[in-house]
Amino acid sequence: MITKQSLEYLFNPLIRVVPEKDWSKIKAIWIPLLHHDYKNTLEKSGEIIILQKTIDRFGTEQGYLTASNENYIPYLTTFFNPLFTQDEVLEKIVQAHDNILTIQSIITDATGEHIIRKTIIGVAKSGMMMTIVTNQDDKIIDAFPIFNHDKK
Amino acid sequence: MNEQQKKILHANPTEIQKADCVDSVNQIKNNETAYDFLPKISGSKGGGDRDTLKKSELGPLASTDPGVFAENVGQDKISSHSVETPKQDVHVIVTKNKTTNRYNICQPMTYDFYLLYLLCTETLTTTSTDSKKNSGIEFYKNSSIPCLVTPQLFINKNKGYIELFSIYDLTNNSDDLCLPKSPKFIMTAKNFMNFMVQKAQLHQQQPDQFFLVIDSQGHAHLTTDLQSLVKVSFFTSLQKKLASLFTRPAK
Repeated sequence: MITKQSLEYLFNPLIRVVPEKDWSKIKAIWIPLLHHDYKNTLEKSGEIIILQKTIDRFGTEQGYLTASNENYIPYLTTFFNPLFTQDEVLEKIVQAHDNILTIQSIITDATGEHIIRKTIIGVAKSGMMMTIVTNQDDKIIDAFPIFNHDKK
Repeated sequence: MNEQQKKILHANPTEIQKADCVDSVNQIKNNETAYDFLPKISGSKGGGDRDTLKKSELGPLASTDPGVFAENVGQDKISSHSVETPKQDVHVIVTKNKTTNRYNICQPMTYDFYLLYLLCTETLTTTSTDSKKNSGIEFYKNSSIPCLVTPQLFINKNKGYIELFSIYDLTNNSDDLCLPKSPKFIMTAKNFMNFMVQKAQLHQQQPDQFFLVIDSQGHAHLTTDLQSLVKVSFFTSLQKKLASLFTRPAK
């Protein structure tokens, strides 16, 4: 069962820091797993920056996620439609999880007997595709929309 | 920003350093001549047993010209000192799904292949966000870019080696700000460059299927023709044998 707690990262900017080995400086800061910014609140407050943003017909946003610090690493990622509430996002993830289009990858442990991670592509009722990642307990650890490059 | 995030941003480096974050860099410091970072092949989680590659044997960087890839394959000399040395190439088949227009790997795979699969399928970006420069080659050449991120992959430059991590392993490890010791896949600079060249080639060709290979020396390759790797290996070994005839010391 998907809960907000289990997918908290999708909605909150968990910031990760990678320092140099001797801590002389920080070599990288990035914001992993953030995939929803309700009404662009984080962006409007300046907490995050999305560069070169584009929007598809599902309202999915794609752009380079970063923040106002030279050590942040921008990376190309996607966001659920900012007009969706968190509940709506979770509902669409459940829909996509129940409607799997394809299994993208299955990763096993060294013995090859136990699945430790699985990545699937599912589709919500609206037709929006998304990538869903599950762990060894088949629990969803990440979900993000696939940007649709078709014209609106 | 919540308390957890503040804690991460304002953590006292000294305190965190006390945690168990000793990694491969320290191993280099302890041993300037031997590099033991090459990935074990099948069944390994990167970071396991390694073959040993001598610093002097790394050789120059591979050319970025896609046409010269075949000449470069197998030129890295790796002396086998590890207990378990892979004897043959292992590969997985990467197939394009026409519905999603994405590449999948149908069969289950080990973590090494997973990380390489992400490297070959995910979009790499540099700090410039310039799409023309968004490649691993730019990343490698520019010393001011220490790492790259994708939605699922963290790529770290470490003393001339390239380390691949899944971001899920990094985000789970919320109390430790250092990169995890494992699982990771470590590539030589030369192998990374070759891999990126092959990725660029495949991006242009858009084949329905290609192979992701980890060869017997622990180097990763992308190819649409497995036979090409075999041929190159054969000619490389023949070349080495011929060369050895002329380099034997006189009795």
